[in-house]
Amino acid sequence: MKDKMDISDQDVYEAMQEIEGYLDISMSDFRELYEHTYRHAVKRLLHSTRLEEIMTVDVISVTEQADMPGIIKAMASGSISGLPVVDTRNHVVGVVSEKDIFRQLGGEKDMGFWDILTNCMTVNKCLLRSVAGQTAGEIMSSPAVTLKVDDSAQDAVRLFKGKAINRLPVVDNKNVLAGIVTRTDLLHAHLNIDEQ
Amino acid sequence: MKYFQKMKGVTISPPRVSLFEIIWSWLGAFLGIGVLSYCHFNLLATTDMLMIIGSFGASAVLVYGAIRSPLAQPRNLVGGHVISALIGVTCYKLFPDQPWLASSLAVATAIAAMHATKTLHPPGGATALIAVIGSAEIHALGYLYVVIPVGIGALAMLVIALFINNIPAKRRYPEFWL
Repeated sequence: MKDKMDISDQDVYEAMQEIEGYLDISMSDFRELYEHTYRHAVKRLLHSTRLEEIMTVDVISVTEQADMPGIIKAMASGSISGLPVVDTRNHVVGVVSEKDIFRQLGGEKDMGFWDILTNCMTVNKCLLRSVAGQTAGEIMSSPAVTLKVDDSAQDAVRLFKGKAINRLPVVDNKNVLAGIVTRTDLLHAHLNIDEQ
Repeated sequence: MKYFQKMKGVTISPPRVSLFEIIWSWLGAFLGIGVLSYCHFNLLATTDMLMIIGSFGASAVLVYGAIRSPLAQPRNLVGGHVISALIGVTCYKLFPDQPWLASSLAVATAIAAMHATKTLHPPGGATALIAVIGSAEIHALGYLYVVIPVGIGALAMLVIALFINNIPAKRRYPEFWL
C-alpha cells in the first residue's frame, strides 16, 4: 500500500487558489505535512479496520483428502492462486498454493509455470500424471498462518510483508474458517476509505 | 542539499488572495487600528496613558489579513504580546544603561518564551523591543506597560477581529482559542 502520495507544487498552488483567505504555509511545508498526515491516516485506518469488515467471506477451500485435479479445478473455478486446506471440522490445517503444486510438478523448488511447461514439452520430465494422486494434505504448506476475525488490517499487512505471502485465511474464535483476506482486499478497503 | 544551493529556494510563491479578502483585510485593519488610535490620540491625549504601540500594526496584518494563520489566533495575539511585554520591561529594568544588551536579550528571550508557551506572535518581538527602546513615557509606565497599552490593546484588537472577521460567510475567526 502506498504510504506517500506525489503532490506537485502546481497541485498545491491550485488548491490554495480554491480556498478563500491567506494560507500561512509554504508549498513545500504543505507537501511535507500532507505526506506525514497521510501516513498517519493510513496507519490509523489500518489499525481500526477489523479483518471481518474487509475479508472475502465466500472462501473456496479444499479438504486434506482432495487430490491434485480437485485442487487445480478449485483454483481454476475461482481464478485464484491459493486455497486454505481444512479438516472435517472446517479448521484450517494448511494452505496450498501454485508454488506447492509447481514444486511437485517440477521436482525443484521455485520453478515457475513456464519452466514446468518447458520440461513437459522438451525434457520428457513431465510429472503431471505421476502427481495426480497426491492429496492436499501431502503437498500443502503447514501449519497454516492464519488471523482472527477481530485482528486488524495492520496485522495482515505485517504478515504479508514479514512472510512474503499474498493471502491469509481468517478464522473465528473457534478456529473455524470464516474468510480469507488478500492484498487486493486491503487495497479495496483503502480505496473505499478514499472515496468516502 | 549543499549550503549555497539551499539559498535558491525550493518552490514558487503562493497565489494572490481574492479582492474580497483584500477588502475585508483592509476593513478589519482600519477599524482595529482606528479604535486604538482614536482612544490614544483623542480620549487619552490629556493623560499619561498610551493605547497604541508600533507592534499593533504588525498584529493587524495577522489578525485581519491572515486570519487562519496559527500566529494570528487569540492565544498567540494576547499571549504573545503580554509575555513579550513582561520580558521587555524586565530586560530594561535589569540593564537600563546597556540598551544594546537589554534590546537583544528582550527580543531573543521573548521569541524563546513565545515558542515555549505556544504563543508565537511575531509582533511580540516588537513589543519586547519597544519596552527597551521606546520613549520616556513608555519607560515611565514600568510593568503597567504589560497591562496598558499592551494587554488592553491586544484584547481590543481581538474583540474587533471577532466581530469583523466573522461577518462574511466565507471567513471565520478564530481557528482555536487555547
